Amino acid sequence: MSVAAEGAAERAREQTPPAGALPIPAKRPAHPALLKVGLPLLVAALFLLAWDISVRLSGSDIFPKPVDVLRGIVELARKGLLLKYIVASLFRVTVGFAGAVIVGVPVGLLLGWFNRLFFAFNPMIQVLRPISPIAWIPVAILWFGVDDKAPIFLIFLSSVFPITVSAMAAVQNIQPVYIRAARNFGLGQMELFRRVILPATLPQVLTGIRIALGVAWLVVVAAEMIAVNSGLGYLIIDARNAGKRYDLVVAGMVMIGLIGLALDLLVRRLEKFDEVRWGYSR
Amino acid sequence: MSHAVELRDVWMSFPGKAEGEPVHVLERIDLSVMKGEFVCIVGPSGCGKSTLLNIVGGFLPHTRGQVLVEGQPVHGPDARRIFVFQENGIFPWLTVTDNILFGLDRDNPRREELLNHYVEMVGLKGFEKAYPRELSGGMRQRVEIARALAASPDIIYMDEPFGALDFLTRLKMRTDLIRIWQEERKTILFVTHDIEEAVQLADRIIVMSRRPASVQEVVTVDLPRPRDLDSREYLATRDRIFGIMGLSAKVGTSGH
Repeated sequence: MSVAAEGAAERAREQTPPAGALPIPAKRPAHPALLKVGLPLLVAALFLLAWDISVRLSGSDIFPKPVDVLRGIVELARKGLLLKYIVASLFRVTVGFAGAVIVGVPVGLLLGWFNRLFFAFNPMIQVLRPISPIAWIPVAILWFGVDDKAPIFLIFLSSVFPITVSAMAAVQNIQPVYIRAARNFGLGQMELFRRVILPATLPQVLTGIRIALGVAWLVVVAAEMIAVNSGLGYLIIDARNAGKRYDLVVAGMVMIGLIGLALDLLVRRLEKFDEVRWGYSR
Repeated sequence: MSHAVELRDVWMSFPGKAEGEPVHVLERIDLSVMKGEFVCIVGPSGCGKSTLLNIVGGFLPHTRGQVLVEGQPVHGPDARRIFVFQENGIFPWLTVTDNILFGLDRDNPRREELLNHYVEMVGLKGFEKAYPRELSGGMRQRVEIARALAASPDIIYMDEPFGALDFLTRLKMRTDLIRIWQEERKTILFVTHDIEEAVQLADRIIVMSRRPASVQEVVTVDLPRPRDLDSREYLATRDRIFGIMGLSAKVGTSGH
Protein backbone atom coordinates (compact mmCIF):
# COMPACT_ATOMS: atom_id res chain seq x y z
CA MET A 1 0.00 0.00 0.00
CA SER A 2 1.30 3.46 -0.77
CA VAL A 3 2.10 5.86 2.00
CA ALA A 4 -0.74 8.11 1.00
CA ALA A 5 -3.23 5.26 0.90
CA GLU A 6 -2.08 3.98 4.28
CA GLY A 7 -2.38 7.44 5.77
CA ALA A 8 -5.82 7.86 4.29
CA ALA A 9 -6.91 4.48 5.65
CA GLU A 10 -5.81 5.31 9.17
CA ARG A 11 -7.29 8.76 8.83
CA ALA A 12 -10.61 7.26 7.84
CA ARG A 13 -10.44 4.89 10.78
CA GLU A 14 -9.71 7.41 13.46
CA GLN A 15 -11.29 10.61 12.35
CA THR A 16 -14.63 11.49 13.78
CA PRO A 17 -16.59 13.78 11.48
CA PRO A 18 -17.20 17.26 12.89
CA ALA A 19 -20.53 17.61 14.62
CA GLY A 20 -23.36 18.32 12.22
CA ALA A 21 -21.40 17.40 9.13
CA LEU A 22 -22.50 14.09 7.72
CA PRO A 23 -20.27 12.67 5.02
CA ILE A 24 -22.04 12.92 1.68
CA PRO A 25 -21.20 10.03 -0.61
CA ALA A 26 -19.82 11.43 -3.85
CA LYS A 27 -21.59 10.32 -7.00
CA ARG A 28 -19.03 8.69 -9.21
CA PRO A 29 -19.66 8.89 -12.95
CA ALA A 30 -19.27 5.56 -14.70
CA HIS A 31 -16.56 6.72 -17.13
CA PRO A 32 -15.00 9.88 -15.67
CA ALA A 33 -12.43 10.33 -18.46
CA LEU A 34 -15.02 9.92 -21.19
CA LEU A 35 -17.36 12.38 -19.47
CA LYS A 36 -14.66 14.94 -18.76
CA VAL A 37 -13.53 15.06 -22.37
CA GLY A 38 -16.65 13.95 -24.20
CA LEU A 39 -19.18 16.31 -22.63
CA PRO A 40 -17.25 19.54 -23.25
CA LEU A 41 -16.59 18.44 -26.84
CA LEU A 42 -20.28 17.75 -27.30
CA VAL A 43 -21.20 21.19 -25.94
CA ALA A 44 -18.60 22.84 -28.21
CA ALA A 45 -19.96 20.98 -31.24
CA LEU A 46 -23.54 22.02 -30.41
CA PHE A 47 -22.40 25.62 -29.97
CA LEU A 48 -20.66 25.68 -33.36
CA LEU A 49 -23.70 24.11 -34.96
CA ALA A 50 -26.07 26.67 -33.41
CA TRP A 51 -23.72 29.48 -34.49
CA ASP A 52 -23.55 28.19 -38.04
CA ILE A 53 -27.33 27.75 -38.31
CA SER A 54 -28.10 31.18 -36.85
CA VAL A 55 -25.76 32.96 -39.29
CA ARG A 56 -27.30 31.06 -42.22
CA LEU A 57 -30.85 31.81 -41.05
CA SER A 58 -30.08 35.51 -40.53
CA GLY A 59 -28.69 35.78 -44.04
CA SER A 60 -25.89 38.07 -42.80
CA ASP A 61 -22.96 38.42 -45.16
CA ILE A 62 -20.86 40.33 -42.65
CA PHE A 63 -20.95 38.11 -39.59
CA PRO A 64 -18.84 34.99 -40.22
CA LYS A 65 -19.78 31.33 -39.91
CA PRO A 66 -17.38 29.10 -37.94
CA VAL A 67 -15.81 27.87 -41.15
CA ASP A 68 -15.14 31.49 -42.25
CA VAL A 69 -13.37 32.11 -38.98
CA LEU A 70 -11.25 29.02 -39.49
CA ARG A 71 -10.34 30.30 -43.00
CA GLY A 72 -9.53 33.68 -41.44
CA ILE A 73 -7.16 32.07 -38.97
CA VAL A 74 -5.45 30.15 -41.77
CA GLU A 75 -5.14 33.37 -43.81
CA LEU A 76 -3.56 35.19 -40.88
CA ALA A 77 -1.16 32.31 -40.30
CA ARG A 78 -0.11 32.29 -43.98
CA LYS A 79 0.61 36.01 -43.93
CA GLY A 80 2.69 35.50 -40.80
CA LEU A 81 0.51 37.95 -38.90
CA LEU A 82 -0.98 35.43 -36.49
CA LEU A 83 2.31 34.44 -34.87
CA LYS A 84 3.56 38.04 -34.96
CA TYR A 85 0.50 39.37 -33.14
CA ILE A 86 0.41 36.55 -30.62
CA VAL A 87 4.09 37.11 -29.82
CA ALA A 88 3.51 40.86 -29.54
CA SER A 89 0.62 40.41 -27.08
CA LEU A 90 2.40 37.74 -25.06
CA PHE A 91 5.53 39.85 -24.88
CA ARG A 92 3.62 42.80 -23.39
CA VAL A 93 1.83 40.59 -20.91
CA THR A 94 5.05 38.88 -19.88
CA VAL A 95 6.91 42.11 -19.21
CA GLY A 96 4.06 43.95 -17.49
CA PHE A 97 3.01 40.91 -15.50
CA ALA A 98 6.54 39.99 -14.42
CA GLY A 99 6.93 43.56 -13.17
CA ALA A 100 3.68 43.24 -11.22
CA VAL A 101 4.84 39.97 -9.58
CA ILE A 102 8.25 41.43 -8.73
CA VAL A 103 6.67 44.49 -7.10
CA GLY A 104 3.37 43.07 -5.84
CA VAL A 105 4.51 39.97 -3.97
CA PRO A 106 7.17 41.60 -1.76
CA VAL A 107 5.06 44.71 -1.17
CA GLY A 108 2.02 42.58 -0.27
CA LEU A 109 4.04 40.40 2.10
CA LEU A 110 5.52 43.47 3.83
CA LEU A 111 2.13 45.16 4.18
CA GLY A 112 0.65 41.93 5.54
CA TRP A 113 3.41 41.49 8.10
CA PHE A 114 3.92 45.05 9.37
CA ASN A 115 0.70 46.48 10.77
CA ARG A 116 1.86 50.07 10.51
CA LEU A 117 2.64 49.77 6.82
CA PHE A 118 -0.75 48.13 6.33
CA PHE A 119 -2.60 50.95 8.10
CA ALA A 120 -0.63 53.55 6.18
CA PHE A 121 -0.91 52.17 2.66
CA ASN A 122 -4.00 49.97 2.56
CA PRO A 123 -6.57 52.79 2.14
CA MET A 124 -4.59 54.17 -0.81
CA ILE A 125 -4.46 50.73 -2.41
CA GLN A 126 -8.18 50.25 -1.90
CA VAL A 127 -8.87 53.54 -3.69
CA LEU A 128 -6.58 52.82 -6.64
CA ARG A 129 -7.64 49.20 -7.00
CA PRO A 130 -11.21 49.67 -8.27
CA ILE A 131 -10.12 52.08 -11.03
CA SER A 132 -10.39 50.05 -14.22
CA PRO A 133 -7.12 49.82 -16.14
CA ILE A 134 -9.14 50.98 -19.16
CA ALA A 135 -9.57 54.35 -17.42
CA TRP A 136 -5.80 54.65 -17.35
CA ILE A 137 -5.45 54.35 -21.14
CA PRO A 138 -5.48 58.13 -21.85
CA VAL A 139 -2.99 58.67 -19.03
CA ALA A 140 -0.77 55.87 -20.34
CA ILE A 141 -0.76 57.37 -23.82
CA LEU A 142 0.08 60.78 -22.38
CA TRP A 143 3.00 59.38 -20.43
CA PHE A 144 4.34 56.76 -22.81
CA GLY A 145 3.01 57.67 -26.23
CA VAL A 146 1.89 55.11 -28.80
CA ASP A 147 4.48 52.53 -27.95
CA ASP A 148 4.95 49.14 -26.26
CA LYS A 149 5.43 50.93 -22.96
CA ALA A 150 1.81 52.06 -22.70
CA PRO A 151 0.18 48.60 -22.76
CA ILE A 152 2.97 47.20 -20.58
CA PHE A 153 2.23 49.89 -18.02
CA LEU A 154 -1.49 49.12 -18.17
CA ILE A 155 -0.87 45.41 -17.68
CA PHE A 156 1.42 46.12 -14.77
CA LEU A 157 -1.24 48.34 -13.25
CA SER A 158 -4.04 45.82 -13.73
CA SER A 159 -2.16 42.90 -12.15
CA VAL A 160 -0.14 44.57 -9.42
CA PHE A 161 -3.19 45.24 -7.23
CA PRO A 162 -4.69 41.73 -7.16
CA ILE A 163 -1.21 40.31 -6.53
CA THR A 164 -0.42 42.77 -3.73
CA VAL A 165 -3.78 42.31 -2.06
CA SER A 166 -3.65 38.51 -2.16
CA ALA A 167 -0.11 38.44 -0.77
CA MET A 168 -1.19 40.84 1.97
CA ALA A 169 -4.21 38.73 2.88
CA ALA A 170 -2.11 35.57 2.73
CA VAL A 171 0.21 36.86 5.46
CA GLN A 172 -2.69 38.05 7.58
CA ASN A 173 -4.36 34.64 7.26
CA ILE A 174 -1.35 32.57 8.32
CA GLN A 175 -2.37 30.19 11.09
CA PRO A 176 -0.92 31.75 14.26
CA VAL A 177 0.20 28.30 15.39
CA TYR A 178 2.86 28.22 12.61
CA ILE A 179 4.34 31.51 13.76
CA ARG A 180 4.27 30.40 17.38
CA ALA A 181 5.93 27.09 16.59
CA ALA A 182 8.60 28.88 14.58
CA ARG A 183 9.27 31.34 17.42
CA ASN A 184 9.42 28.44 19.84
CA PHE A 185 12.22 26.89 17.78
CA GLY A 186 14.10 30.18 18.04
CA LEU A 187 13.83 31.42 14.46
CA GLY A 188 14.97 35.00 13.86
CA GLN A 189 13.07 37.41 11.60
CA MET A 190 14.87 36.44 8.39
CA GLU A 191 14.57 32.73 9.04
CA LEU A 192 10.96 33.11 10.08
CA PHE A 193 10.28 34.80 6.78
CA ARG A 194 12.15 32.27 4.65
CA ARG A 195 11.12 29.08 6.43
CA VAL A 196 7.56 29.90 7.51
CA ILE A 197 5.96 33.04 6.10
CA LEU A 198 7.01 32.45 2.51
CA PRO A 199 5.95 28.79 2.31
CA ALA A 200 2.80 29.41 4.37
CA THR A 201 1.61 32.16 2.03
CA LEU A 202 2.67 30.54 -1.24
CA PRO A 203 -0.67 28.84 -2.08
CA GLN A 204 -2.71 32.02 -1.67
CA VAL A 205 -0.07 34.13 -3.44
CA LEU A 206 -0.18 31.71 -6.34
CA THR A 207 -3.96 32.00 -6.52
CA GLY A 208 -3.62 35.79 -6.65
CA ILE A 209 -1.08 35.43 -9.45
CA ARG A 210 -3.46 33.23 -11.43
CA ILE A 211 -6.34 35.70 -11.07
CA ALA A 212 -4.07 38.60 -11.99
CA LEU A 213 -2.84 36.82 -15.09
CA GLY A 214 -6.44 36.47 -16.26
CA VAL A 215 -6.99 40.19 -15.72
CA ALA A 216 -3.71 41.04 -17.51
CA TRP A 217 -4.79 39.06 -20.52
CA LEU A 218 -8.11 40.92 -20.60
CA VAL A 219 -6.33 44.24 -20.40
CA VAL A 220 -3.69 43.66 -23.05
CA VAL A 221 -6.40 43.28 -25.68
CA ALA A 222 -8.10 46.50 -24.64
CA ALA A 223 -4.82 48.38 -24.48
CA GLU A 224 -3.75 47.19 -27.93
CA MET A 225 -6.96 48.49 -29.46
CA ILE A 226 -5.90 52.03 -28.66
CA ALA A 227 -2.27 52.41 -27.86
CA VAL A 228 -0.31 50.37 -30.44
CA ASN A 229 -0.40 48.86 -33.92
CA SER A 230 0.33 45.21 -33.34
CA GLY A 231 -1.04 42.42 -31.18
CA LEU A 232 -4.33 40.57 -31.00
CA GLY A 233 -6.27 43.61 -29.77
CA TYR A 234 -4.94 45.64 -32.69
CA LEU A 235 -5.87 42.79 -35.05
CA ILE A 236 -9.49 42.98 -33.95
CA ILE A 237 -9.89 46.74 -34.21
CA ASP A 238 -7.88 46.88 -37.45
CA ALA A 239 -9.91 44.10 -39.12
CA ARG A 240 -13.09 45.97 -38.30
CA ASN A 241 -11.88 49.39 -39.41
CA ALA A 242 -10.15 48.23 -42.58
CA GLY A 243 -13.01 46.64 -44.52
CA LYS A 244 -15.29 45.12 -41.92
CA ARG A 245 -13.43 41.82 -41.93
CA TYR A 246 -15.53 40.24 -39.19
CA ASP A 247 -14.10 36.81 -39.94
CA LEU A 248 -10.75 38.19 -38.73
CA VAL A 249 -12.38 39.95 -35.76
CA VAL A 250 -13.83 36.66 -34.54
CA ALA A 251 -10.60 34.83 -35.43
CA GLY A 252 -8.81 37.25 -33.08
CA MET A 253 -11.40 36.60 -30.38
CA VAL A 254 -10.98 32.84 -30.71
CA MET A 255 -7.20 33.12 -30.40
CA ILE A 256 -7.56 35.33 -27.31
CA GLY A 257 -9.84 32.76 -25.70
CA LEU A 258 -7.55 29.82 -26.47
CA ILE A 259 -4.39 31.57 -25.26
CA GLY A 260 -6.19 32.74 -22.12
CA LEU A 261 -7.17 29.15 -21.40
CA ALA A 262 -3.59 27.97 -21.99
CA LEU A 263 -2.20 30.59 -19.59
CA ASP A 264 -4.66 29.57 -16.88
CA LEU A 265 -3.87 25.87 -17.30
CA LEU A 266 -0.18 26.70 -17.06
CA VAL A 267 -0.54 28.45 -13.70
CA ARG A 268 -2.94 25.78 -12.43
CA ARG A 269 -0.20 23.23 -12.98
CA LEU A 270 1.92 25.12 -10.45
CA GLU A 271 -0.82 24.54 -7.89
CA LYS A 272 -0.20 20.79 -8.08
CA PHE A 273 3.24 20.96 -6.46
CA ASP A 274 3.55 19.39 -3.00
CA GLU A 275 4.85 22.66 -1.54
CA VAL A 276 1.51 24.39 -2.18
CA ARG A 277 -1.05 21.62 -2.63
CA TRP A 278 -1.86 21.56 1.09
CA GLY A 279 -3.30 25.04 0.73
CA TYR A 280 -6.02 24.05 -1.71
CA SER A 281 -7.50 20.85 -0.28
CA ARG A 282 -10.63 21.48 1.67
CA MET B 1 15.50 17.13 42.59
CA SER B 2 15.30 20.74 41.51
CA HIS B 3 12.46 22.72 40.02
CA ALA B 4 11.98 22.77 36.27
CA VAL B 5 9.02 25.13 36.50
CA GLU B 6 8.01 27.28 39.42
CA LEU B 7 5.14 29.76 39.64
CA ARG B 8 4.83 32.07 42.61
CA ASP B 9 1.65 34.07 43.13
CA VAL B 10 0.98 34.43 39.40
CA TRP B 11 -1.97 36.55 38.29
CA MET B 12 -3.26 37.21 34.84
CA SER B 13 -5.99 39.62 33.86
CA PHE B 14 -7.25 41.27 30.70
CA PRO B 15 -8.39 44.87 30.61
CA GLY B 16 -12.20 44.56 30.74
CA LYS B 17 -14.79 46.28 28.60
CA ALA B 18 -15.88 48.64 31.35
CA GLU B 19 -13.11 50.92 32.53
CA GLY B 20 -11.23 49.96 35.64
CA GLU B 21 -12.79 46.51 35.71
CA PRO B 22 -10.15 44.04 34.55
CA VAL B 23 -11.22 40.46 33.84
CA HIS B 24 -9.28 38.06 36.01
CA VAL B 25 -8.30 34.84 34.31
CA LEU B 26 -5.76 33.49 36.78
CA GLU B 27 -5.48 34.27 40.50
CA ARG B 28 -2.60 33.60 42.85
CA ILE B 29 -1.27 30.53 41.08
CA ASP B 30 1.45 28.70 42.98
CA LEU B 31 2.81 25.53 41.49
CA SER B 32 6.01 23.72 40.79
CA VAL B 33 7.18 20.96 38.50
CA MET B 34 10.26 18.91 39.31
CA LYS B 35 12.86 17.95 36.73
CA GLY B 36 11.78 14.81 34.89
CA GLU B 37 8.31 14.94 36.35
CA PHE B 38 5.09 14.40 34.37
CA VAL B 39 2.53 16.90 35.63
CA CYS B 40 -1.00 17.34 34.33
CA ILE B 41 -3.14 20.43 34.75
CA VAL B 42 -6.87 19.68 34.69
CA GLY B 43 -9.81 22.00 35.05
CA PRO B 44 -13.16 22.81 33.58
CA SER B 45 -13.25 23.98 29.96
CA GLY B 46 -12.41 27.65 29.59
CA CYS B 47 -11.00 27.97 33.09
CA GLY B 48 -7.70 29.39 31.91
CA LYS B 49 -5.45 26.33 32.12
CA SER B 50 -4.39 26.80 28.51
CA THR B 51 -3.66 30.47 29.27
CA LEU B 52 -1.53 29.30 32.16
CA LEU B 53 0.49 26.99 29.91
CA ASN B 54 0.94 29.77 27.36
CA ILE B 55 2.32 32.02 30.09
CA VAL B 56 4.79 29.35 31.19
CA GLY B 57 5.70 28.80 27.51
CA GLY B 58 6.44 32.49 27.04
CA PHE B 59 3.63 33.15 24.55
CA LEU B 60 1.51 35.31 26.86
CA PRO B 61 2.48 37.85 29.51
CA HIS B 62 1.27 37.55 33.08
CA THR B 63 0.11 40.45 35.18
CA ARG B 64 1.71 39.74 38.52
CA GLY B 65 3.95 37.27 40.28
CA GLN B 66 6.94 35.21 39.22
CA VAL B 67 7.22 32.62 36.47
CA LEU B 68 10.50 30.76 36.70
CA VAL B 69 11.70 28.06 34.35
CA GLU B 70 15.00 26.41 35.24
CA GLY B 71 15.33 29.13 37.84
CA GLN B 72 15.14 31.97 35.28
CA PRO B 73 12.23 34.36 34.66
CA VAL B 74 10.43 33.67 31.36
CA HIS B 75 10.69 36.43 28.75
CA GLY B 76 9.44 34.61 25.67
CA PRO B 77 9.44 31.28 23.92
CA ASP B 78 12.68 29.35 24.16
CA ALA B 79 14.02 26.49 22.03
CA ARG B 80 14.96 24.58 25.19
CA ARG B 81 11.26 24.16 26.00
CA ILE B 82 9.04 23.05 23.16
CA PHE B 83 5.29 23.52 22.99
CA VAL B 84 3.06 20.83 21.45
CA PHE B 85 -0.20 22.27 20.16
CA GLN B 86 -3.68 20.81 20.12
CA GLU B 87 -3.72 20.17 16.38
CA ASN B 88 -2.15 21.21 13.10
CA GLY B 89 0.99 22.51 14.74
CA ILE B 90 3.23 20.88 12.13
CA PHE B 91 4.04 22.60 8.87
CA PRO B 92 1.89 21.28 6.00
CA TRP B 93 4.42 22.33 3.34
CA LEU B 94 7.14 20.10 4.80
CA THR B 95 7.49 16.32 4.73
CA VAL B 96 7.52 14.29 7.94
CA THR B 97 11.33 14.32 7.78
CA ASP B 98 11.62 18.09 7.35
CA ASN B 99 9.06 18.70 10.07
CA ILE B 100 10.91 16.52 12.56
CA LEU B 101 14.25 18.17 11.71
CA PHE B 102 12.78 21.68 11.77
CA GLY B 103 14.39 22.66 15.06
CA LEU B 104 17.87 21.36 14.16
CA ASP B 105 20.67 23.29 12.48
CA ARG B 106 21.38 22.35 8.86
CA ASP B 107 24.94 21.39 9.75
CA ASN B 108 24.02 19.34 12.79
CA PRO B 109 25.98 16.11 12.25
CA ARG B 110 23.40 14.03 14.10
CA ARG B 111 20.43 14.88 11.84
CA GLU B 112 20.17 11.42 10.24
CA GLU B 113 20.63 9.64 13.52
CA LEU B 114 18.07 11.78 15.37
CA LEU B 115 15.58 11.48 12.54
CA ASN B 116 15.78 7.69 12.50
CA HIS B 117 15.63 7.52 16.27
CA TYR B 118 12.49 9.63 16.62
CA VAL B 119 10.70 8.35 13.54
CA GLU B 120 11.11 4.91 15.06
CA MET B 121 10.07 6.06 18.52
CA VAL B 122 6.79 7.59 17.39
CA GLY B 123 6.05 4.72 15.01
CA LEU B 124 6.22 6.55 11.69
CA LYS B 125 8.80 4.39 9.93
CA GLY B 126 8.00 4.35 6.20
CA PHE B 127 6.25 7.73 6.35
CA GLU B 128 9.38 9.90 6.25
CA LYS B 129 8.57 11.34 2.83
CA ALA B 130 4.84 11.80 3.40
CA TYR B 131 3.22 15.20 3.72
CA PRO B 132 0.94 16.00 6.68
CA ARG B 133 -2.16 16.00 4.48
CA GLU B 134 -1.49 12.32 3.73
CA LEU B 135 -1.48 11.45 7.44
CA SER B 136 -4.23 10.87 9.97
CA GLY B 137 -4.76 13.24 12.91
CA GLY B 138 -3.01 10.84 15.29
CA MET B 139 -0.04 10.46 12.98
CA ARG B 140 0.27 14.23 12.66
CA GLN B 141 0.39 14.57 16.44
CA ARG B 142 3.14 11.92 16.49
CA VAL B 143 5.11 14.01 14.00
CA GLU B 144 4.72 17.02 16.26
CA ILE B 145 5.88 15.07 19.30
CA ALA B 146 8.88 13.79 17.31
CA ARG B 147 9.65 17.35 16.16
CA ALA B 148 9.61 18.50 19.79
CA LEU B 149 11.84 15.63 20.98
CA ALA B 150 14.35 16.00 18.12
CA ALA B 151 15.10 19.55 19.24
CA SER B 152 16.22 17.93 22.54
CA PRO B 153 14.39 20.30 24.87
CA ASP B 154 14.56 20.03 28.65
CA ILE B 155 10.82 20.52 29.02
CA ILE B 156 7.83 19.77 26.80
CA TYR B 157 4.60 21.71 27.20
CA MET B 158 1.54 19.97 25.82
CA ASP B 159 -1.75 21.81 25.37
CA GLU B 160 -4.50 19.19 25.01
CA PRO B 161 -2.39 17.46 22.36
CA PHE B 162 -4.83 14.58 21.96
CA GLY B 163 -8.00 16.65 22.31
CA ALA B 164 -8.92 16.47 18.63
CA LEU B 165 -8.43 12.71 18.32
CA ASP B 166 -11.01 9.99 18.67
CA PHE B 167 -11.25 7.86 21.80
CA LEU B 168 -9.27 4.80 20.70
CA THR B 169 -6.48 6.83 19.10
CA ARG B 170 -6.29 8.91 22.27
CA LEU B 171 -5.83 5.79 24.41
CA LYS B 172 -3.03 4.56 22.15
CA MET B 173 -1.34 7.97 22.11
CA ARG B 174 -1.34 8.07 25.93
CA THR B 175 0.33 4.67 26.17
CA ASP B 176 2.91 5.72 23.61
CA LEU B 177 3.55 9.05 25.31
CA ILE B 178 4.23 7.31 28.62
CA ARG B 179 6.63 4.90 26.92
CA ILE B 180 8.44 7.82 25.22
CA TRP B 181 8.58 9.80 28.46
CA GLN B 182 10.06 6.80 30.26
CA GLU B 183 12.74 6.47 27.58
CA GLU B 184 13.55 10.18 27.33
CA ARG B 185 12.88 11.41 30.88
CA LYS B 186 11.90 14.90 29.81
CA THR B 187 9.90 17.12 32.09
CA ILE B 188 6.35 17.25 30.76
CA LEU B 189 3.68 19.78 31.68
CA PHE B 190 0.44 18.61 30.11
CA VAL B 191 -2.88 20.45 30.01
CA THR B 192 -6.10 18.49 29.57
CA HIS B 193 -9.77 18.75 30.45
CA ASP B 194 -9.95 14.95 30.48
CA ILE B 195 -9.63 13.68 34.06
CA GLU B 196 -9.06 10.07 33.02
CA GLU B 197 -6.26 11.17 30.73
CA ALA B 198 -4.60 13.03 33.60
CA VAL B 199 -4.85 10.05 35.96
CA GLN B 200 -3.43 7.70 33.32
CA LEU B 201 -0.47 9.96 32.58
CA ALA B 202 0.62 12.09 35.49
CA ASP B 203 2.89 11.82 38.51
CA ARG B 204 0.97 14.74 39.93
CA ILE B 205 -2.25 16.42 38.90
CA ILE B 206 -2.93 20.09 39.46
CA VAL B 207 -6.67 20.63 39.68
CA MET B 208 -7.79 24.13 38.73
CA SER B 209 -10.98 25.84 39.81
CA ARG B 210 -13.45 27.64 37.57
CA ARG B 211 -12.60 31.08 36.26
CA PRO B 212 -10.90 33.08 37.65
CA ALA B 213 -8.75 29.99 37.99
CA SER B 214 -6.61 29.14 40.94
CA VAL B 215 -5.02 25.90 42.07
CA GLN B 216 -7.72 24.02 43.88
CA GLU B 217 -5.77 20.95 44.85
CA VAL B 218 -2.69 18.99 43.87
CA VAL B 219 -3.16 15.23 43.68
CA THR B 220 -0.21 12.86 43.64
CA VAL B 221 -0.81 9.75 41.57
CA ASP B 222 1.47 7.14 43.06
CA LEU B 223 0.57 4.24 40.79
CA PRO B 224 3.00 2.03 38.86
CA ARG B 225 3.08 2.28 35.06
CA PRO B 226 1.64 0.95 32.84
CA ARG B 227 -1.45 1.77 34.83
CA ASP B 228 -4.24 -0.69 35.27
CA LEU B 229 -7.37 1.23 34.41
CA ASP B 230 -9.54 -1.22 36.33
CA SER B 231 -7.54 -1.16 39.56
CA ARG B 232 -9.19 0.14 42.69
CA GLU B 233 -6.47 2.72 43.26
CA TYR B 234 -6.84 4.13 39.76
CA LEU B 235 -10.59 4.42 40.07
CA ALA B 236 -10.33 5.95 43.53
CA THR B 237 -7.91 8.62 42.32
CA ARG B 238 -10.12 9.38 39.35
CA ASP B 239 -13.24 9.66 41.49
CA ARG B 240 -11.42 11.85 43.95
CA ILE B 241 -10.64 14.36 41.20
CA PHE B 242 -14.19 14.21 39.91
CA GLY B 243 -15.19 15.03 43.48
CA ILE B 244 -12.80 17.96 43.74
CA MET B 245 -14.18 19.36 40.50
CA GLY B 246 -17.68 19.06 41.89
CA LEU B 247 -18.81 16.34 39.53
CA SER B 248 -20.40 13.05 40.40
CA ALA B 249 -18.15 10.19 39.37
CA LYS B 250 -21.19 8.35 38.06
CA VAL B 251 -21.87 11.07 35.49
CA GLY B 252 -18.30 11.51 34.44
CA THR B 253 -17.16 7.94 33.83
CA SER B 254 -17.50 8.01 30.05
CA GLY B 255 -14.22 9.84 29.74
CA HIS B 256 -15.60 13.07 28.34
